[in-house]
Amino acid sequence: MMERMQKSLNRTPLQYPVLQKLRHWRQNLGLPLWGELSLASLFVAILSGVLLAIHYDPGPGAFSSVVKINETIPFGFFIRGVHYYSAEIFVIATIVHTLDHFWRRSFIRYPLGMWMMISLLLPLAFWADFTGFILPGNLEGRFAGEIMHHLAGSIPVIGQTFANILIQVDQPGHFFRLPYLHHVVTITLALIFLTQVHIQRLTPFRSALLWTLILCIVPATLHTVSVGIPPNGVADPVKGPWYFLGLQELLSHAAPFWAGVVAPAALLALFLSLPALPYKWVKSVEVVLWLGLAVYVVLTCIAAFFRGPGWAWTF
Amino acid sequence: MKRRTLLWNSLKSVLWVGFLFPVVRFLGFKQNLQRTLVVNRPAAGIWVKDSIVLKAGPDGQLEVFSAKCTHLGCRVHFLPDNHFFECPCHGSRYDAEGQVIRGPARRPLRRLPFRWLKNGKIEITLISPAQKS
Repeated sequence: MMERMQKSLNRTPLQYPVLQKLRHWRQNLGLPLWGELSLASLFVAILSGVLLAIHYDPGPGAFSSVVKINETIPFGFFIRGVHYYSAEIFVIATIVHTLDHFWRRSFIRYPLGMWMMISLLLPLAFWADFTGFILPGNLEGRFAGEIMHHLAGSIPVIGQTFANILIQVDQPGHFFRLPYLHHVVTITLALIFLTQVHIQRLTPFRSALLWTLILCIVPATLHTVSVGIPPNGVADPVKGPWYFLGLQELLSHAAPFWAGVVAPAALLALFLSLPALPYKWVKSVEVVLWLGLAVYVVLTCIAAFFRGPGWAWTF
Repeated sequence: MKRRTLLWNSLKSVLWVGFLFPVVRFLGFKQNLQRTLVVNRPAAGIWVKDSIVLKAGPDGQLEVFSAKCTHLGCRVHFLPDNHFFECPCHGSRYDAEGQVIRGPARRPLRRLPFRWLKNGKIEITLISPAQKS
């Protein structure tokens, strides 16, 4: 049964001439694999994050400490830029790596427990980047924190407890305390642990590290990452991080619990359960997941390009 | 399932619950302290200050709302030309009385209790011990 399933479902890039060419092109240029790039960017993000933490204040002065890092502290803008770009590369590389292996049906080679553990790296990458989006203490970050709290709070029975573990929004001066704790400790430790489980090492290859450094240092030198809108400012619309724009669009149409909790959790549960699904269901679930992704991409494009003040349509 | 396995699994479940219950209770603890804010008496008009909306009438009448959108907590702003509040995150709208005129929000802006102080200022209760977050 297992053999038949593997034979029927196995899919490699070598079967497809276009992908074969891409692979040659990548090898000739010495470009790293997406998973390698993900590890290297996590490595750079952690190191630059430790440097940033020295000057960052997770208290009421969060925004002013980020302004100070950007404008006053020597090379502050550069360290912050490297952290920002390495985090972006980490999210992008983790998404592409996951999609690549989903398309190749790598789940047929993993036991359920292992597949679930390594797949959790993707939501953890989102959570790491999202807490990083909250921490600068700007208007966007404040609203993102409020939304995270309210979405978690919409879960029946355990919602309020869960929400207060993630972030406490009505404690003055404590808004950034828990996202900061999770950003630098909880999520980072979980990422390190799961990466070790996934590839049995934590140090990236030199070529991947070199590419990551180039991809971080060049933009961080040329462009200062904005501190965003001051927390007491007014802006309309206020948009979340690019990977959650689809969710933001969905939330403007459907109830928070269904759009923000049930829909993503259902897709994640389907993805996590892939190795355990009966053979005849696998292809149907794959179709559901690819369709879900396509819908999410469309929603993201709508939110990114066609939403203006008051979340109204703009062209 | 053998009786011994069943017993062992039951014991493990009890141990897990015994371990997780205090952890969850510990993590979920949150003290609902009374929080107040003292502000100056506003001029007539509608003002959004930090997380509160002050609506002062020409006759000295005052209404105070929370400026947090009841959908997902973003701060609403007032559009004087259109005379409504708008949420910049998902587009909910509220009229000048705080009632919903366009979703996705379903509940009106939360009214906040307040009292006049002797010095003419206003003390607004943001969270009372009875309220949940």
